Amino acid sequence: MKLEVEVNNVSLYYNGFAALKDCSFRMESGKIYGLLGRNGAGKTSLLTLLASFRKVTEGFIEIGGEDPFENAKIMQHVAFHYETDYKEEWENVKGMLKNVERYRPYFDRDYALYLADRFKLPLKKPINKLSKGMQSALEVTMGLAARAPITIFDETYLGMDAPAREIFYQELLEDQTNHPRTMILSTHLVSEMDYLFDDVIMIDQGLFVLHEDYETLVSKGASITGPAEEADKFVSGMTQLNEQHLGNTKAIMVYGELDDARRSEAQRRGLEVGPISLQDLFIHLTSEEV
Amino acid sequence: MSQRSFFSKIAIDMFTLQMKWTLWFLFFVALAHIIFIFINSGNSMMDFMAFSHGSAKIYMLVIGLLSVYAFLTYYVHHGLTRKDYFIGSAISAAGIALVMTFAVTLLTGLEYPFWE
Repeated sequence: MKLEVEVNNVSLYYNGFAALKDCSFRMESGKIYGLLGRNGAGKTSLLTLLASFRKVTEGFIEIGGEDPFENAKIMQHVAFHYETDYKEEWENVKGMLKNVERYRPYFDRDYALYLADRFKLPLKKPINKLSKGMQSALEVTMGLAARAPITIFDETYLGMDAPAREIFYQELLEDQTNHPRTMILSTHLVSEMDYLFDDVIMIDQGLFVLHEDYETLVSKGASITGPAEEADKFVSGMTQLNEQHLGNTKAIMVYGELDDARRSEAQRRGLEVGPISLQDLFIHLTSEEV
Repeated sequence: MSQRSFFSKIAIDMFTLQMKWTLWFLFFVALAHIIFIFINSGNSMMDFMAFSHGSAKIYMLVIGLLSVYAFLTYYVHHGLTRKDYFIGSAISAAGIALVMTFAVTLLTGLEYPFWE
């Protein structure tokens, strides 16, 4: 099942405070989207709108050509997973997975149990007795196994430890290959997750900043590595994002595309031109100074 | 693979869970009633129907309030509409009220032979 997401001039106000201002973009089905933004940028607000947790104040959202709010036909296909508070949840893990299976048309039980096993989730234990990391792993398990055409993870993985996150990334990529869907991952663990993204959407202070595919985006900057002096000379006049030294070698991140002439000049000077990290670009594009 | 509405599933799920709570509730009310009879040395002031009437109303109010906290967020989280929740929980509540009335009537009926 393919569902496209269209966000048209969407604004969201909480008692006069604008959490989102006039955001517009489209999401095609079958891609993994990275939703990046600083704390309080409006990431979660945007996702709650897509998941019909809230109503849009201005503008409109269409999923599969329909308004998703209170629309059973669409809502069952949109899974929004976030760091849920399970203090009062006495149900055990297995019971919870069984319940979710009743409401998600594409839920795969075997896959859910396989994931639970990979995350070492105790099936018989009540959920409120699980550690924070285990609760996150359960949330992720429900999200992946539901195979909802639009699957949203809002920093669900923050509570998980590094090995568990690694398992999550692996499983996500593998299951996405076998069962393509629209996946939206909101995060500020940019450097850790950038290889997962097909497309990147960035928002800052409630405003839409950009929507670009990952490759195009990282080609908007470059890392220049080589002897310190040559590197400094080469980048003078360019926007520098970040630099690192190692002995006499320097790596400088610059913003702005390099044309072929510049590239061959870099080569002549004995400098290596590489792609920029999304993390550096993200910091640059959303820092206060810009 | 799209289902049109989910209220029947919600009604069944909520009824099953709330029925478990209701059985516990009835058990404790019946226990309180029996203790009350013993304290009054066998002279029951009222039958089980009259005894449980007030607390049953409050019980329905409590599970009604709890239902919003316990189920509404949960169901919306799992992709169900508020409307389906509303219809499902209303059906479930009506079912609980009916079963409770029936159970209390039955227990009251059983109580009478003891006083003969």
